[in-house]
Amino acid sequence: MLWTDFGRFHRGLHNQFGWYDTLHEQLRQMQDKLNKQFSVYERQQQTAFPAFNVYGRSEGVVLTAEIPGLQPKDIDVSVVGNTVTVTLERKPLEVTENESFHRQERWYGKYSRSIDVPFNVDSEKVTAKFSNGILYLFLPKIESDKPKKVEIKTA
Amino acid sequence: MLNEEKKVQKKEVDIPEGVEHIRAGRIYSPVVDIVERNGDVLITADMPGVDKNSVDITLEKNVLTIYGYVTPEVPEGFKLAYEEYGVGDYKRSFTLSDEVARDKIEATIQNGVLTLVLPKAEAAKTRKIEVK
Repeated sequence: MLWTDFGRFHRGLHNQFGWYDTLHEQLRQMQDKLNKQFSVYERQQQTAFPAFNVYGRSEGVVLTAEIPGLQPKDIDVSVVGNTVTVTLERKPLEVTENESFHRQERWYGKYSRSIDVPFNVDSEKVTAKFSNGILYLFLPKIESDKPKKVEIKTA
Repeated sequence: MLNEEKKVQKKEVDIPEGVEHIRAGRIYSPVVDIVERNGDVLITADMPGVDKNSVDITLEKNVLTIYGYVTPEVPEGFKLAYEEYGVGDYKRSFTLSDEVARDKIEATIQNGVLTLVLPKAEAAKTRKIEVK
Protein backbone atom coordinates (compact mmCIF):
# COMPACT_ATOMS: atom_id res chain seq x y z
CA MET A 1 0.00 0.00 0.00
CA LEU A 2 1.38 3.39 -0.89
CA TRP A 3 0.33 6.55 0.86
CA THR A 4 -0.15 8.63 -2.21
CA ASP A 5 -3.54 9.96 -1.29
CA PHE A 6 -2.47 12.68 1.11
CA GLY A 7 -1.74 15.09 -1.69
CA ARG A 8 -4.98 14.67 -3.56
CA PHE A 9 -7.03 14.81 -0.42
CA HIS A 10 -5.67 18.07 0.92
CA ARG A 11 -4.87 20.08 -2.16
CA GLY A 12 -8.15 21.91 -2.50
CA LEU A 13 -8.45 22.88 1.14
CA HIS A 14 -5.35 24.54 2.36
CA ASN A 15 -4.86 27.75 0.41
CA GLN A 16 -6.29 30.12 3.04
CA PHE A 17 -3.97 29.00 5.78
CA GLY A 18 -0.20 29.48 5.63
CA TRP A 19 0.41 27.06 8.47
CA TYR A 20 -1.40 24.45 6.56
CA ASP A 21 1.25 24.53 3.87
CA THR A 22 3.87 23.68 6.46
CA LEU A 23 1.75 20.88 7.82
CA HIS A 24 1.10 19.63 4.34
CA GLU A 25 4.81 19.62 3.56
CA GLN A 26 5.49 17.67 6.73
CA LEU A 27 2.84 15.13 5.80
CA ARG A 28 4.36 14.80 2.37
CA GLN A 29 7.77 14.13 3.86
CA MET A 30 6.28 11.53 6.16
CA GLN A 31 4.65 9.91 3.19
CA ASP A 32 7.99 9.75 1.38
CA LYS A 33 9.64 8.16 4.36
CA LEU A 34 6.88 5.59 4.73
CA ASN A 35 7.05 4.69 1.07
CA LYS A 36 10.78 4.19 1.38
CA GLN A 37 10.34 1.98 4.42
CA PHE A 38 7.72 -0.19 2.77
CA SER A 39 9.60 -0.56 -0.49
CA VAL A 40 12.37 -2.34 1.41
CA TYR A 41 9.94 -5.09 2.39
CA GLU A 42 8.61 -5.41 -1.11
CA ARG A 43 12.07 -6.00 -2.50
CA GLN A 44 13.08 -8.62 0.02
CA GLN A 45 11.40 -11.72 -1.22
CA GLN A 46 12.50 -14.49 1.00
CA THR A 47 13.78 -17.80 -0.18
CA ALA A 48 14.47 -21.07 1.55
CA PHE A 49 17.80 -21.51 3.29
CA PRO A 50 20.47 -21.97 2.11
CA ALA A 51 19.85 -19.83 -0.94
CA PHE A 52 21.19 -21.27 -4.19
CA ASN A 53 22.42 -19.66 -7.35
CA VAL A 54 22.44 -21.89 -10.39
CA TYR A 55 24.83 -21.54 -13.32
CA GLY A 56 24.23 -23.67 -16.37
CA ARG A 57 25.71 -24.94 -19.60
CA SER A 58 24.97 -27.91 -21.81
CA GLU A 59 26.99 -30.46 -19.78
CA GLY A 60 25.36 -29.65 -16.46
CA VAL A 61 24.96 -27.00 -13.80
CA VAL A 62 26.93 -25.49 -10.95
CA LEU A 63 25.04 -24.78 -7.74
CA THR A 64 26.51 -22.22 -5.37
CA ALA A 65 25.53 -21.35 -1.81
CA GLU A 66 26.94 -18.86 0.66
CA ILE A 67 27.49 -20.77 3.88
CA PRO A 68 30.44 -19.11 5.62
CA GLY A 69 32.10 -20.38 8.75
CA LEU A 70 31.70 -24.07 8.03
CA GLN A 71 34.24 -26.81 7.58
CA PRO A 72 33.76 -29.28 4.74
CA LYS A 73 32.80 -31.89 7.34
CA ASP A 74 29.78 -29.80 8.39
CA ILE A 75 28.31 -30.03 4.92
CA ASP A 76 26.58 -33.10 3.57
CA VAL A 77 25.59 -33.36 -0.07
CA SER A 78 23.62 -36.22 -1.59
CA VAL A 79 22.32 -36.75 -5.10
CA VAL A 80 19.52 -39.11 -6.09
CA GLY A 81 18.27 -39.04 -9.68
CA ASN A 82 17.61 -35.38 -10.29
CA THR A 83 17.30 -34.32 -6.65
CA VAL A 84 20.16 -32.71 -4.79
CA THR A 85 20.04 -32.41 -1.02
CA VAL A 86 22.36 -30.20 0.97
CA THR A 87 22.41 -30.56 4.75
CA LEU A 88 24.54 -28.35 6.94
CA GLU A 89 25.00 -27.32 10.49
CA ARG A 90 26.57 -24.28 12.06
CA LYS A 91 27.03 -23.83 15.78
CA PRO A 92 26.44 -20.48 17.46
CA LEU A 93 29.40 -18.73 19.06
CA GLU A 94 29.98 -20.07 22.51
CA VAL A 95 29.93 -17.63 25.33
CA THR A 96 30.81 -18.25 28.92
CA GLU A 97 28.95 -16.93 31.89
CA ASN A 98 30.86 -13.67 32.08
CA GLU A 99 30.41 -12.90 28.41
CA SER A 100 27.32 -11.54 26.74
CA PHE A 101 26.02 -10.93 23.23
CA HIS A 102 25.55 -7.31 22.26
CA ARG A 103 24.28 -8.55 18.97
CA GLN A 104 23.57 -11.94 17.51
CA GLU A 105 22.56 -11.65 13.89
CA ARG A 106 24.40 -14.60 12.38
CA TRP A 107 22.42 -17.73 11.66
CA TYR A 108 23.06 -21.04 13.34
CA GLY A 109 21.40 -24.42 13.48
CA LYS A 110 20.89 -27.39 11.23
CA TYR A 111 19.36 -26.91 7.82
CA SER A 112 18.53 -29.14 4.92
CA ARG A 113 17.30 -28.25 1.50
CA SER A 114 16.54 -30.29 -1.59
CA ILE A 115 16.18 -28.97 -5.07
CA ASP A 116 15.37 -30.64 -8.33
CA VAL A 117 17.41 -30.00 -11.43
CA PRO A 118 15.81 -30.55 -14.83
CA PHE A 119 17.94 -33.58 -15.77
CA ASN A 120 19.32 -36.75 -14.21
CA VAL A 121 22.62 -36.18 -12.51
CA ASP A 122 25.61 -38.43 -13.10
CA SER A 123 26.19 -38.90 -9.38
CA GLU A 124 29.61 -40.54 -9.88
CA LYS A 125 30.97 -37.37 -11.45
CA VAL A 126 29.60 -34.77 -9.05
CA THR A 127 32.34 -32.55 -7.67
CA ALA A 128 32.19 -30.13 -4.77
CA LYS A 129 34.43 -27.29 -3.71
CA PHE A 130 34.24 -25.06 -0.67
CA SER A 131 36.18 -21.83 -0.74
CA ASN A 132 35.94 -18.69 1.37
CA GLY A 133 32.58 -19.77 2.70
CA ILE A 134 31.00 -20.49 -0.68
CA LEU A 135 29.99 -23.99 -1.72
CA TYR A 136 30.31 -24.89 -5.42
CA LEU A 137 28.62 -28.07 -6.57
CA PHE A 138 29.12 -29.27 -10.12
CA LEU A 139 26.29 -31.52 -11.23
CA PRO A 140 26.94 -33.10 -14.63
CA LYS A 141 24.16 -34.56 -16.75
CA ILE A 142 24.12 -38.31 -17.32
CA GLU A 143 25.28 -39.26 -20.82
CA SER A 144 21.78 -39.97 -22.12
CA ASP A 145 20.54 -36.51 -21.13
CA LYS A 146 23.31 -34.62 -22.85
CA PRO A 147 22.52 -32.86 -26.08
CA LYS A 148 23.44 -34.93 -29.13
CA LYS A 149 24.49 -33.62 -32.44
CA VAL A 150 22.33 -35.02 -35.20
CA GLU A 151 24.09 -35.79 -38.41
CA ILE A 152 22.16 -34.71 -41.46
CA LYS A 153 22.77 -36.84 -44.47
CA THR A 154 22.27 -35.65 -47.95
CA ALA A 155 19.77 -37.71 -49.88
CA MET B 1 16.04 -30.94 14.58
CA LEU B 2 15.87 -28.91 11.43
CA ASN B 3 14.97 -25.26 11.50
CA GLU B 4 12.89 -25.48 8.39
CA GLU B 5 11.45 -22.01 8.49
CA LYS B 6 14.77 -20.23 8.52
CA LYS B 7 14.71 -17.16 6.33
CA VAL B 8 17.97 -15.45 5.62
CA GLN B 9 18.17 -12.52 3.32
CA LYS B 10 21.18 -10.41 2.54
CA LYS B 11 20.54 -6.81 3.35
CA GLU B 12 21.85 -4.03 1.18
CA VAL B 13 23.48 -1.12 2.97
CA ASP B 14 21.59 2.13 3.27
CA ILE B 15 23.21 4.78 1.18
CA PRO B 16 23.21 8.12 2.96
CA GLU B 17 21.42 10.77 0.97
CA GLY B 18 23.64 12.63 -1.44
CA VAL B 19 26.34 9.95 -1.42
CA GLU B 20 26.60 7.57 -4.31
CA HIS B 21 28.88 4.70 -5.10
CA ILE B 22 31.05 4.84 -8.15
CA ARG B 23 31.93 1.17 -8.13
CA ALA B 24 29.49 -1.04 -9.98
CA GLY B 25 27.52 -3.64 -8.12
CA ARG B 26 25.63 -3.96 -4.92
CA ILE B 27 26.96 -3.53 -1.41
CA TYR B 28 25.61 -5.64 1.39
CA SER B 29 25.72 -5.20 5.09
CA PRO B 30 27.23 -8.34 6.62
CA VAL B 31 25.47 -9.92 9.59
CA VAL B 32 27.53 -9.74 12.75
CA ASP B 33 27.75 -11.16 16.24
CA ILE B 34 29.20 -8.88 18.86
CA VAL B 35 30.29 -10.41 22.13
CA GLU B 36 31.51 -8.51 25.13
CA ARG B 37 34.19 -10.54 26.82
CA ASN B 38 36.22 -9.89 29.87
CA GLY B 39 39.23 -8.23 28.34
CA ASP B 40 37.95 -7.48 24.86
CA VAL B 41 35.06 -7.19 22.45
CA LEU B 42 34.70 -9.80 19.73
CA ILE B 43 33.08 -8.92 16.41
CA THR B 44 32.32 -11.76 14.00
CA ALA B 45 31.03 -10.98 10.52
CA ASP B 46 29.80 -13.30 7.77
CA MET B 47 31.46 -12.24 4.51
CA PRO B 48 31.35 -15.19 2.12
CA GLY B 49 33.65 -14.77 -0.86
CA VAL B 50 36.11 -12.53 0.96
CA ASP B 51 39.63 -13.64 1.87
CA LYS B 52 42.50 -11.92 3.63
CA ASN B 53 43.61 -10.14 0.48
CA SER B 54 40.25 -8.64 -0.26
CA VAL B 55 39.28 -7.20 3.08
CA ASP B 56 39.95 -3.65 4.22
CA ILE B 57 39.69 -2.61 7.80
CA THR B 58 40.07 1.06 8.53
CA LEU B 59 39.89 3.04 11.69
CA GLU B 60 39.28 6.72 11.26
CA LYS B 61 38.70 8.81 14.32
CA ASN B 62 36.41 6.51 16.24
CA VAL B 63 34.72 4.77 13.31
CA LEU B 64 35.85 1.27 12.47
CA THR B 65 34.85 0.26 8.95
CA ILE B 66 35.10 -3.20 7.47
CA TYR B 67 34.94 -3.49 3.71
CA GLY B 68 35.10 -6.76 1.81
CA TYR B 69 35.69 -6.76 -1.93
CA VAL B 70 34.00 -9.64 -3.70
CA THR B 71 35.02 -10.74 -7.16
CA PRO B 72 32.10 -12.80 -8.41
CA GLU B 73 33.41 -16.24 -9.18
CA VAL B 74 31.36 -17.50 -12.08
CA PRO B 75 32.45 -20.98 -13.14
CA GLU B 76 34.16 -20.79 -16.50
CA GLY B 77 31.80 -21.21 -19.42
CA PHE B 78 28.67 -21.18 -17.25
CA LYS B 79 25.86 -18.65 -17.35
CA LEU B 80 23.65 -17.61 -14.48
CA ALA B 81 20.38 -19.49 -14.83
CA TYR B 82 18.65 -18.85 -11.53
CA GLU B 83 19.46 -16.45 -8.73
CA GLU B 84 18.33 -16.58 -5.13
CA TYR B 85 20.98 -14.41 -3.57
CA GLY B 86 22.84 -11.39 -4.83
CA VAL B 87 26.59 -11.08 -5.01
CA GLY B 88 28.36 -7.89 -4.05
CA ASP B 89 30.78 -6.22 -1.69
CA TYR B 90 30.32 -5.94 2.05
CA LYS B 91 30.51 -2.85 4.18
CA ARG B 92 29.69 -2.04 7.73
CA SER B 93 30.88 0.56 10.21
CA PHE B 94 31.01 0.59 13.97
CA THR B 95 31.56 3.45 16.33
CA LEU B 96 34.13 2.65 18.97
CA SER B 97 34.16 4.05 22.43
CA ASP B 98 37.29 5.24 24.18
CA GLU B 99 37.51 1.91 25.95
CA VAL B 100 39.11 0.19 22.98
CA ALA B 101 42.88 -0.05 22.74
CA ARG B 102 43.06 0.98 19.12
CA ASP B 103 46.59 -0.06 18.34
CA LYS B 104 45.92 -3.62 19.47
CA ILE B 105 42.96 -4.52 17.26
CA GLU B 106 43.44 -7.88 15.61
CA ALA B 107 41.65 -9.32 12.61
CA THR B 108 41.54 -12.79 11.08
CA ILE B 109 39.42 -14.20 8.31
CA GLN B 110 38.65 -17.84 7.68
CA ASN B 111 36.07 -19.55 5.51
CA GLY B 112 34.39 -16.24 4.81
CA VAL B 113 34.04 -15.25 8.45
CA LEU B 114 35.88 -12.17 9.66
CA THR B 115 36.84 -12.10 13.32
CA LEU B 116 37.88 -8.86 14.98
CA VAL B 117 39.22 -8.71 18.50
CA LEU B 118 39.08 -5.29 20.09
CA PRO B 119 41.02 -5.34 23.35
CA LYS B 120 39.86 -3.00 26.03
CA ALA B 121 42.18 -0.27 27.14
CA GLU B 122 43.75 -0.83 30.53
CA ALA B 123 41.68 1.88 32.12
CA ALA B 124 38.41 0.34 31.00
CA LYS B 125 38.98 -3.19 32.24
CA THR B 126 36.84 -4.24 35.13
CA ARG B 127 38.92 -4.40 38.22
CA LYS B 128 38.07 -6.08 41.38
CA ILE B 129 38.71 -3.84 44.30
CA GLU B 130 39.77 -5.51 47.42
CA VAL B 131 38.28 -4.36 50.64
CA LYS B 132 40.81 -4.15 53.37
